[in-house]
Amino acid sequence: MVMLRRTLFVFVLLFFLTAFTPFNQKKEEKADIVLKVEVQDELVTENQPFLAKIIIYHSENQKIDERSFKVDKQPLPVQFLSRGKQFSISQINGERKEMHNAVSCYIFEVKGSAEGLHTLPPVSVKVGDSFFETEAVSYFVNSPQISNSFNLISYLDTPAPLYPGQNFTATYRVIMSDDLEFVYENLPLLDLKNCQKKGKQKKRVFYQGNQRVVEYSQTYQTKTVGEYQIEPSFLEGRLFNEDFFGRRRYKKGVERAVSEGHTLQVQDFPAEGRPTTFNGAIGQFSMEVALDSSAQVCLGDKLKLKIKFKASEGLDTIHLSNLSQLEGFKDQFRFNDLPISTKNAADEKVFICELRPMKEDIVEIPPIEFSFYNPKKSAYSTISSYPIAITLLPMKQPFENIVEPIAKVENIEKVQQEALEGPQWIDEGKAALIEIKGVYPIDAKDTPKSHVNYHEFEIVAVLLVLILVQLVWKNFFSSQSKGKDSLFYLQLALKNKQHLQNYQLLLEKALLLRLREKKFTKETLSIDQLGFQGITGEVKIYIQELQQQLFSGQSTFDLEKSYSKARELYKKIGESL
Amino acid sequence: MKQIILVLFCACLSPLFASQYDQAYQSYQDGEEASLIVEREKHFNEALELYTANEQVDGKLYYNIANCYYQLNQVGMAIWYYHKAEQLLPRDVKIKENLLKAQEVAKATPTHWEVIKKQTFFWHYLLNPQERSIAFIGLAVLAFIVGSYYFWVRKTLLKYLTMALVVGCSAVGISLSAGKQSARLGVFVQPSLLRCDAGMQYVEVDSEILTAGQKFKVLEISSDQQWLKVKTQKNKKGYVPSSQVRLL
Repeated sequence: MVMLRRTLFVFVLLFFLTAFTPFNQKKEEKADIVLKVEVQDELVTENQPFLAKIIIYHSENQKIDERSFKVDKQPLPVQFLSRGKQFSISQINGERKEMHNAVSCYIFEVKGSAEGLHTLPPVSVKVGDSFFETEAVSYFVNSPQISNSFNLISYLDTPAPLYPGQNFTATYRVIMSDDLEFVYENLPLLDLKNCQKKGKQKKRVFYQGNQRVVEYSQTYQTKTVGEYQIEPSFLEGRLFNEDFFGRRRYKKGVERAVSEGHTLQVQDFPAEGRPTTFNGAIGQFSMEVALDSSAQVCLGDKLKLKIKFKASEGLDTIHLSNLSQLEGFKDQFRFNDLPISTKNAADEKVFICELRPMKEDIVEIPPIEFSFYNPKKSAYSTISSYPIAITLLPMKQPFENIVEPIAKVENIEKVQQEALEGPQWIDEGKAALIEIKGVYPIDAKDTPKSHVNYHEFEIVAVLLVLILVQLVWKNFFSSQSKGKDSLFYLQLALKNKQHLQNYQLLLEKALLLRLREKKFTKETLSIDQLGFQGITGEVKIYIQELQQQLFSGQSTFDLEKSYSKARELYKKIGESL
Repeated sequence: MKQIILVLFCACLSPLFASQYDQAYQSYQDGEEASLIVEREKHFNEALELYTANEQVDGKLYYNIANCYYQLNQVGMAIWYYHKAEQLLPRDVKIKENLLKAQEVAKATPTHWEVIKKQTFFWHYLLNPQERSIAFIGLAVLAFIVGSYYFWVRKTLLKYLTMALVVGCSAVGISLSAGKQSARLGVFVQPSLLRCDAGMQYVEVDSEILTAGQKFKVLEISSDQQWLKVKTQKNKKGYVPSSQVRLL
């Protein structure tokens, strides 16, 4: 019986040892876990959400389930903040114990509330296999006063009127006398909706007298037409000074600075005079269109068209129209389905599009029109490119012996061999035969050649003048010599009285010359050609009578009378002008 | 004096030019011998760059540049340079042959009227401007001497000789004057369309495409020099962008 009781005691003891030891261990572990919530209530202001911190002390092998945070049985979204390690040694009743603990921190947002004392309910979380709960925490919500120590100014730097695609800048200036620690800020101008941010937010610090000015600015591009109300901005913070060790010494509690709200009005582009090709580009642009590939292509071959826009601003408002729908391109060219590639630089934007001529009679790429709104002139402008000539070459053809059916070809073996080698298309890389040959070698004696002006027309003018001089000269001398001639022959005839024939000839010549000198006859005329009228007739009759008398051998021929008659005629010719 | 300084300056530079022309000549030869399009284009482009970098008023040089353009399939430019070369070397057979070939390629062969004109006024197309000037001066001086002699001596032979010389001198003189007007001629270097006024917004005169290589007469140049009013060989008048033409 005693043996039975001892055996039973041992079993009961073992049962307790085995059954309760883990529980006890767990209880010991549970006792090591500490949770607490911290709220910096001096920073909690009226109606503003704030962040509270959960600190959990636990052993390193215990995991925290972040999804298990709850407050008032409702899930509490938290954000992991940090994790640290703690090492401690304890010796109790001579037993040395080393403890390796971890400290995990989480933060969560608490909604804003009215001024006064508030209580944060307990927060529960699963650590390891068990749930643990913090204690409820009280905190006081302050009502910040409007600050006299710092000021907030906001303004919008917008062109007037403001159109979609235009840039503007929103700016805040915080003017303060001491350093300011921001506690809460509501600055909607730095994160405007319906506008696209351009570049990063800029911060600038400068001084106005003794006051420090911190400026925050953000550039935006307007996207859509409309009127946008921007709520008033405010900034809450505490002024502080730093001591010798860099610690902050706050001067007052949380203060607030407020700036007025704004209205952003984005107008639609004027409907009057809006070109059909206008698609929202705003600024002042120039356009260059050029071929980025060879202008000589086969039908269906690819052409690369490079369209370059240049401007100082507004390049991102350029959206290339669908060229395939433009007049001149439609049904004439096929465009690549892939998006048109663009290259952006500081002051230019380049579109490269691929197109293929689809008709044999195409000789040029038609001009491309581009319209934009010029805000400086408050008017639309349309610019157009020049057409670009292209040459369509004949289509490349495969060798005939490949396209012909094999049955028609006599040399079957050759065709089979060629077929094994694959289709033999004309090799694009191989150059065609030369059509024209050779250039001239050029050496130093060929060049340079200065342009020589021969003054040919001036020379001819000089020659004409010389001819004129000759003419005048000849007329002058001939008139003088011819005047002497008639008189000379008359006198000579007198001296040749003894030779009647000479005498008659000299008289005849003297009178004829006299007639020509006085413009009664031309030089070529002879006695026979003289008329019977007037003085010429008298001369003719006289000469003929003289000839008759001389050739008939008349002895009654009176030489003196004949000569005096000749002198009378000579004188009469001179007087008959 | 300025002309003398210019000639001396050019004479000093001529050996430098000559060496670059030798390089260009070699590049052209390499281009002809190349079997691949890429190599050929590379060599012809090199030759073209060297020739055009030292471009001067020289018929042979123009001919060489035209050949380079022809080999690079720039037929419009080739024709323009052939015309310029032909003006300076009018009796050069190679230039005539290549010009005709280029015109055939560009489908801009001379019109029937142009061929008749060339045959009728053959002397105009046989002499270059310099030769025309010399011939004109020579004939004028000869006519003057013979005419003066006849003026004093009155021989029938001299009379007819003077008349013949005056007629010859007049013909060459007319040719010379016509040559001086050739600055108002031009060549299309790209296929073009005639427009009713100076601007792309104006309608085309007709749908006929003026192929590269065709000659035209300049009637007017717009104030911004971007457009030319021209008269084509078919007597059509209209405007073309100046970028598509070159003046002779």
